[in-house]
Amino acid sequence: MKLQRDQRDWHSVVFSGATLAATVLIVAMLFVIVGNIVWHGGGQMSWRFIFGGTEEGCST
Amino acid sequence: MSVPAAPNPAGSAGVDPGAAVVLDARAPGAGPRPALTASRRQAHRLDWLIERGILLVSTTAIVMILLIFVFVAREGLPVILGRTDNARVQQPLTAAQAAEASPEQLARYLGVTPAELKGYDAETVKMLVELKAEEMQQLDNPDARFNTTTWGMMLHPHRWHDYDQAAYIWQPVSEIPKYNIVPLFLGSLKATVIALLVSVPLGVGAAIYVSQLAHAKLREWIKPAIELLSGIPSVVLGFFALIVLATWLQWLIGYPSRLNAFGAGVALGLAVIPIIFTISEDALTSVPQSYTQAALALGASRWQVAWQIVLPAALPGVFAACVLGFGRAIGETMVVLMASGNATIVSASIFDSCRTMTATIAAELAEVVFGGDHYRILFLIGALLFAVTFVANLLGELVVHRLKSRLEGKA
Repeated sequence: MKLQRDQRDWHSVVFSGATLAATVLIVAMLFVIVGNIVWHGGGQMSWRFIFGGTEEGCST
Repeated sequence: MSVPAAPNPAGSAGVDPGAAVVLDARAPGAGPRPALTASRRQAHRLDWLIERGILLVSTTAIVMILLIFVFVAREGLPVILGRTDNARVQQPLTAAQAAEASPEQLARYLGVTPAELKGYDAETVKMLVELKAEEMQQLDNPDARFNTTTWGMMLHPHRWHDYDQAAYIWQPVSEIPKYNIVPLFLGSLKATVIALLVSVPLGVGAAIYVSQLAHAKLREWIKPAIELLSGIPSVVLGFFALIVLATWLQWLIGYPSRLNAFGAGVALGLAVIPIIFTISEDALTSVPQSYTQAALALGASRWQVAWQIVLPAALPGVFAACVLGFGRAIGETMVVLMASGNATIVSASIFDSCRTMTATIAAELAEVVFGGDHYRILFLIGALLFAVTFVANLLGELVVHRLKSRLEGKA
């Protein structure tokens, strides 16, 4: 007795793949946005940037 | 979706002596009512307090929304009712006509108050009349005689002086202010439709995958990741769209204008996706497991179960998600302000720059004269936005109600 399906359910494969692609695309966009910000902004980050005060332009 | 009340397996009386409904339903000959214990009375008081608290909070929220709408509509009311007039050209009065005119007419003509006019002597009035006549002769722009704050001028194209054809123009700070709101409305509509075309398939598709097809462990990672997208501030999304996304899309598609409705719509879609995903996923997950198990037992594939059983059952929730997504898309400001190009043009192409109603309010309201025509028209645009969102929500609610009725077999 053959228990395997005779035909592959292409509808299932295509539509499941489409929903997977939608999910991957959304997660990828999130990584691209966050990655882009970190990539361009990470280099400017320093302890002085976060905690340091203004050194010029505040003298009276 | 309303769930039918489950039958009480223990009968109608004597099961829960503390419950008011059961006590009232006792038969006449059932004996004396059992006294409420102190702890039950305290619980009843607590319930009452919590109920009143919730009522107060929800009523306050509704009243605040109404007050915001009243404030916005009140500021725009003179324009809505057609009580503003910025037409500048009148027929110049001669000295004889000025002498015959009533003090009120003369004061209006000279642009002073009747009290101020009373303080002037005859020589001053004569001089003011002559100056006014000179000023009117110098103003040779024929467009100045139009009141540009009427509904007709705001909604219909007008052939302005030096223009070849009638056009929809929003130019509130030109010599003759032009307040046609059609370009703004179309800009909002274009960006919103593109945002929904991007976000609905992606959001609903991801919701189907996460709720129905994904492995439980994968779901635990993907769901918070997509919901994290809603935590990105809209100004950061706008910044990303302005600097990165617009360049990528222009390189990919090759349109001439880098900042346009398409790019703004795609970026707006990123802001809307988490809303549509979260609500759709909740709706799909709340479909009873028995539906899925019954369909799988009959030999349906996972996809068939998701598409033909679960999605129709969750359709009211999915549609509600799309309506909320529409509300977010049309009301979003920062992304479109930064990424749409802000050109107030009427164009059918989605690759042309556009300007939305929200971006116009954000960009211009801080610089207008308080109480002036421009100020009032910006509030009118705000009221229109409110009305559009309200009507969309109302229609959405009606559709959701019909879908629910159909699902319950009532329609």
